[in-house]
Amino acid sequence: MNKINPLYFLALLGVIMLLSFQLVWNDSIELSKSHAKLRNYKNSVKEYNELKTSVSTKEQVLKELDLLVQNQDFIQANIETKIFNNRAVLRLLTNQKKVMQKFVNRMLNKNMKINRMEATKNYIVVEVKL
Amino acid sequence: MILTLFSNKKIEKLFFTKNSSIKINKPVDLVLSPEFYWVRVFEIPVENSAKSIKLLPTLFEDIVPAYEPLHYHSIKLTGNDFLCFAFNTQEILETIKNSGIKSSQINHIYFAQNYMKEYDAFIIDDSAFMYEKDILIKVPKAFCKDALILNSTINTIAVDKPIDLKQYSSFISDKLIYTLCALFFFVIILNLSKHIFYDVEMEKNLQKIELIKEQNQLPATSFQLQSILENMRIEKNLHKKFNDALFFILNFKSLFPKDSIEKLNYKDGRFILLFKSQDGKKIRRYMQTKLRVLSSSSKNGFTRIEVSI
Repeated sequence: MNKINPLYFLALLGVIMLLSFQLVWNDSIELSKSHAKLRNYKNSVKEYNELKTSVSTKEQVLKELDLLVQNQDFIQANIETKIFNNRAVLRLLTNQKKVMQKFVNRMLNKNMKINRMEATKNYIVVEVKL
Repeated sequence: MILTLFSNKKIEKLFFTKNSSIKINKPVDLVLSPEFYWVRVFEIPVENSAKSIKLLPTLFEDIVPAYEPLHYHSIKLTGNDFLCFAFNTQEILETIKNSGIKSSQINHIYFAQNYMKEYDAFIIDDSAFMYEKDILIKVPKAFCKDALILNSTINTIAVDKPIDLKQYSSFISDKLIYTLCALFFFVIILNLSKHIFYDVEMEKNLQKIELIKEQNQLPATSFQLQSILENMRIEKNLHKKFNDALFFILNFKSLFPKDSIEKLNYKDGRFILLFKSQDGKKIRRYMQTKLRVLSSSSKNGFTRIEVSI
């Protein structure tokens, strides 16, 4: 004998179907979150790489400082350089206004973080972070 | 059915009439008396009994009362001959219920038509039955005086084809129910497939993130990456602000050629500037256009200004 009313079975399937819709709805929300997370992560990584290239490493800064000291414009000007563990101090003594301006311009155009600066008409001291 | 599968005990067979009153706790097979059905042999040009059932409402039209909601059952005999039954399910179920048998006790239900042939005539529960042209019918007791008086328990007979008796009433047809079931099932499967697909997509996204991490040697968590990024942004911003501020300060000379900067000090985002100028207010106003002036003082033609980038 058929003791179970198929309507009960239909109702059960109906409930399971509704639950499956709920499941898929939740999944679609989770998936869009996942896509957004990936998109944001890619953007963050892109920004990270851009920022990374805009900030010089210790080796790059030391190389830049070497080039600066050996530059023809500043050989006469007597640049003193002191390298410490995490900073470098440059002292330029000159009475030539043009040399002073060139030095400042070179410093500003490089990707170096300047911690401290002291300047008068005939000398300039710059402390750079390494 | 389950009981028969797991039990070795024989299930009792009861000949069931409208007068039956049964007190029993065991599972039973019910053999329904002819009171519960109409029976006739029809010649129907179809292959099997399932197809013949579809035609039975029309064939029984002239035999059964039109107002009764009937179900049909058919057994193939020979050739195109079918032994056909019409019965009122609700009436049968009501009678069984009133007799004292619980529906859970019923194993199978059979029509008596084919299973009592070893008796020409018999009396059970004070009702008389006999075969007339191979059809079992109920007759008045006076018609069969020599009939055997039988107990309603008839375990000796062999039964084979139970009838499909529904124990429920339904306002929509079985076909529609099964169609809907199939549809619901299909939708469920579809949704489950989507669920799996979404899971795979999410897993792929996670793998992509892990791959990017490895390729760029990034920290393990996004939180750490955001923290590093924030520090880098601050550092870059500070560098830009310093450059802009220094450029702005040094540009002072082009606007005020008679004045000059005597000394410049920078530390921790602050400039301390010493100007040689007769008009300290003018310099202060100039500085205020782009920088935040923290303090200023003028003395003996010199102006000291402290600004923040």
